[in-house]
Amino acid sequence: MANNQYVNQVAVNGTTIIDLTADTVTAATLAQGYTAHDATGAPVTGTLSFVTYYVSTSAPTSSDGSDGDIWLVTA
Amino acid sequence: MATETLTATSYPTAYETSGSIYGTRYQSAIGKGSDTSAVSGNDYASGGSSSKAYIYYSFDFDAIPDSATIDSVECAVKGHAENTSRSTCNVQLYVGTSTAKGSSSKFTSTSAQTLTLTTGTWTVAEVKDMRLRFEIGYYGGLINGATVTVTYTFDATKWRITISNSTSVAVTTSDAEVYDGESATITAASLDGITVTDNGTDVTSQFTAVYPETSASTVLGTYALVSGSFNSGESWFEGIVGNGADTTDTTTSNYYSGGSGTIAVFTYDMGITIPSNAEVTRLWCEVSGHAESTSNSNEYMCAQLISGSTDLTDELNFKSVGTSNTVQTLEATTLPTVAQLAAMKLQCRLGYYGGAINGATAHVEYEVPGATIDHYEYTITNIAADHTLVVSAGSSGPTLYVKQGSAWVQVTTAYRKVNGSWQQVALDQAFTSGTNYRRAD
Repeated sequence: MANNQYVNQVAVNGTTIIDLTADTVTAATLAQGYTAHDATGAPVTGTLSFVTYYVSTSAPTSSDGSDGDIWLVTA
Repeated sequence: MATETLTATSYPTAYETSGSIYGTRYQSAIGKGSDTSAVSGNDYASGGSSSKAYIYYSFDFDAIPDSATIDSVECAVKGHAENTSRSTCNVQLYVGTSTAKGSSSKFTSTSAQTLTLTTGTWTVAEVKDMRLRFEIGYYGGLINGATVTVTYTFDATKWRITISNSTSVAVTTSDAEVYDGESATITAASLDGITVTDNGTDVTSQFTAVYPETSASTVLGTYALVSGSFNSGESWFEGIVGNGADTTDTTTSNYYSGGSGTIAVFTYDMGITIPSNAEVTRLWCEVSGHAESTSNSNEYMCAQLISGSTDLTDELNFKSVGTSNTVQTLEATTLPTVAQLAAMKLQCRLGYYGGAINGATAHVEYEVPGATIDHYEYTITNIAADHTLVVSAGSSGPTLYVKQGSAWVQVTTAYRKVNGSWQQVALDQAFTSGTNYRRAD
């Protein structure tokens, strides 16, 4: 019997109580820095990054946001 | 009439000097009248050993409407003297650099002190040309700063133009203050991707492109007698340099004529220089004058634009017009080349019965192929109501909307933060494919 490194399914007395085999989470679809387990039971750390955008009726000030952020001014 | 009373405050914005000045610290003395930290008691400027020097600090009150009435001018100046007994260290408000206002005040302490100047009465034009004169002798002193507050009242109904600009397009008014029955012009470097509304009506299409210098004019230049002689001397004709609108230079009883049985021909230079690759699209000349007679067969008081041997206009004989001064227009029948325009003359022919020419103005309109648009103009002709001009991202350019609650709201401006600074970016450059975005909480 193969010695699987990860567990993705747990059955007790023939009843499945945990089943990750159909999960779709991947590192690329999980927010950067967050952790989960994929369909194989392997731990994954998210790599998905976002640029933050702000919506305001006025222009930004220098203390607002971080480099790369977007600021939208609406009418 | 709706009057408003407002105040405008300015600190020194620039300076100019007169005379020899020792020390340079005054060059940065542009603080407020309440400043106490800008200058130490050891800093001072002084004039020559036997002459005084002057520093004139100017202010910015351009925003005050020309139609305003100046109610009061208050000026506080902070500074100090170099020597309490020997310094010439006086301050006084001036119009320009030659007309004093109010009274002169003297710094009497080597520590910073604030003087409140007497200011007198002012007009708007004087306020906009205000100077603070700092007079210093061999022992001088220094000004830390000054604060001038102007209180003024104006008729708000004459302050009609409001511009709301949510784009990066430069928009200005040629005259920020507009009166009933007048017009205002706004200029923009480009209309690409913008919409301009005037009180809610889209007027973008009413902008007209303006190219650099497409018209020119000139008045009578050097006189020359070409042929013939005068019956009454020619000196009067030599001195005519009036423009075509003049009807007052000569009375109708003041006329001149050619010699008996001859016609005198004389010319005035009216050359106009335009770009060498320009093409003249219209040429005309307004000539003011009158005839001595409308019936005599020897009546010739003729005017015509020529260039070399080419007739540019038909010849007008004032005999057909009358013996009273009038302004007549000669319209070009032949459009001159650039060279012909530069050599253009107004030719006059004078008979035994003659008349007078008061003056003339030649006008030319031309196009310069390939010239780029200088700006666009929109003239408000109905000034019966206040106008609010709104310049915004238009339908002809990129648009961006965000959903606020259940409604889509148009984005007018977008910024991106780069190296700690927000920089405006085009709406269609704000977002890029392949990048994930998340709205801030």
